[in-house]
Amino acid sequence: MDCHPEVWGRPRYEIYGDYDHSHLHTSGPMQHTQQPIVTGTSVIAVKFKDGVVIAADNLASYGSLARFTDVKRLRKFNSQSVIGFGGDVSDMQYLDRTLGSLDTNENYSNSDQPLHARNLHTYLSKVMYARRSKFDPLWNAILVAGLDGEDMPFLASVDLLGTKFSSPTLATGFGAHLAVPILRRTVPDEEAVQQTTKDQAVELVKESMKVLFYRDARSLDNYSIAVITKESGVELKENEKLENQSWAFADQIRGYGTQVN
Amino acid sequence: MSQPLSDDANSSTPRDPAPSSTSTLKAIIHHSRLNNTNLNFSTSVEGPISITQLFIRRSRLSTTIEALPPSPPLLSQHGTGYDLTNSVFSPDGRNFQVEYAVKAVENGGTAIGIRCKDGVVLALEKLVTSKLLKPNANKRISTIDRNMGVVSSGLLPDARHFVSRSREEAASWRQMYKAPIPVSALADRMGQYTQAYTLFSSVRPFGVTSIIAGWDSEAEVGVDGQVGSGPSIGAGGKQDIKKKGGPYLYMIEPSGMYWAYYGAATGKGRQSAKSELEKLDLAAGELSLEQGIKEAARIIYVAHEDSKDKEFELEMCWVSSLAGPTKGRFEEVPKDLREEAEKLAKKAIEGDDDEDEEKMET
Repeated sequence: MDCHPEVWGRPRYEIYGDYDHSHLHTSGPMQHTQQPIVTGTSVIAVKFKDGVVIAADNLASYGSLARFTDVKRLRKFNSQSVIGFGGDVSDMQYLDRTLGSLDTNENYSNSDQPLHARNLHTYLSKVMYARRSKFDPLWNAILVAGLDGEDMPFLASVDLLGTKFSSPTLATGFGAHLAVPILRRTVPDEEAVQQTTKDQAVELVKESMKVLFYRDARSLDNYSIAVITKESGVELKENEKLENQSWAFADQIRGYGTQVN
Repeated sequence: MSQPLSDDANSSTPRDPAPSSTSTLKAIIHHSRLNNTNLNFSTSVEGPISITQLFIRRSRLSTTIEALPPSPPLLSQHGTGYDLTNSVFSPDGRNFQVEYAVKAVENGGTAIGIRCKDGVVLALEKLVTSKLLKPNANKRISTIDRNMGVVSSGLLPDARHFVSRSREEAASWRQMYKAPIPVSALADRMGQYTQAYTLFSSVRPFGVTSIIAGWDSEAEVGVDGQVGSGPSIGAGGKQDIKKKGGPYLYMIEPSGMYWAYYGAATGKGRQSAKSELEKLDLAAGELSLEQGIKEAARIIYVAHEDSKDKEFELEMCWVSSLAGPTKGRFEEVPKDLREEAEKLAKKAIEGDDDEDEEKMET
């Protein structure tokens, strides 16, 4: 038997001449991640006077297939920060491991001051920007919520391009279009943050999650929500269900225009 | 050429047949020392001798070997050259360099480890070499990953290197297996690493004996970066298997030898520490972690009795089960607990002294 697999099934060279091996070169130029595969949708967050509320649903979609329904996209980093990931799930797993080893290595230095949310956001933004500059981005949109070095509420975003910004209310993906306008009605600026209580903020986020479930075709009614305050640290609930959905009106709707019943 | 050596009158025993030029040179030097005379090379070169010159002289010497008189037999094993190089066996199968490394360990402050029912304690007698050193700074017990720790006695820089390598091993295990390294695997890897430093003449053995303590988690640990829990039933569904987990304690010596221990001690006060550890009956597995802290402090104080004149600082770290005080993490023992343990230790020692005095009086 011929020991060269590349000539199996090919015309015999003693009859047809040498096979053109350039057809076998499939490598071409180096290719990096071109698109996300398994993805998570929006992450939304809002600051209130004592802390931050952040939420994301538990779905990881494979295109339009709602493939994985128990994927927790909020990651507690330490007692004062939570990171919410949107975008590619494998890149999220990579970042989670990277942050884990960062945490371990920080612990070695014996410092009394653990990394806070602002540190994490800076670190992540540098990782994201470095990767996009290598044309090999981590395909995520990330919100970092928690407390900064002065124990004040901190909320900021960074995405696959390394773009970062901060605001009293933030959302990634679909949420940027749908949730932010709702959140901004109550919390338009830093002043309003001081007027907002924890309960109000939680209610607001839950309401926005509901709107997103109504309107975003890549969303799910199971979600995770975390509240970060100085007093009680991170309170993370990972199996919440949307409540009080309004579908009763659908009975009244008939046809697409002229149909009466 | 003139005869290079002047003392030969006392020699009477016959020489070994056909010695090499190197051993002859050593033998000559040795011989001349024994006889308390000076080597007198009759050469024209003045001042310090370079390597090349030495070679030239040696070759000149070797031309006169046949003319050398017999020298006395060598008395001890030292000076025979078996202890000058790492990785060399002596005729009775020992590696002297490793044994010298053990001597370095025996000069270090006492370090102990106690494996308790629900955790492990490491304690160190840190000798205070200067009043200018800041108290409670310069920690010597190091964390590996999150659930393990190392304490060593001997050369501090060697200990640091050992710790650094341990951390690399733990990190590379995570890189490969996406899970924390079991304590037994870390001990094995570090044992291998230490042993490699007894194999080559170009390196020296570690001047430390290190004690590794850790707690393997009893909980089902998810894969690093894992999201979701997978199918709850059917193919790929998980069975609920109770993981064992538990406390582990290992001690690695400069030879690379390591065993798992109930209680381990090394450094200057190891003898008294060991005899105290033996009294605890650790094999029964009854000692609680809280009790272990107190015993560890006491044992360090007992071990310090021999060098009472020197100041020392007690350093203690511990790791417990997930349900315990450290939640499966390797941490420093909280200050109040440590101070309480120290108070009890001092009391216990003074009590012993009182008893002794009473005995003396009666």
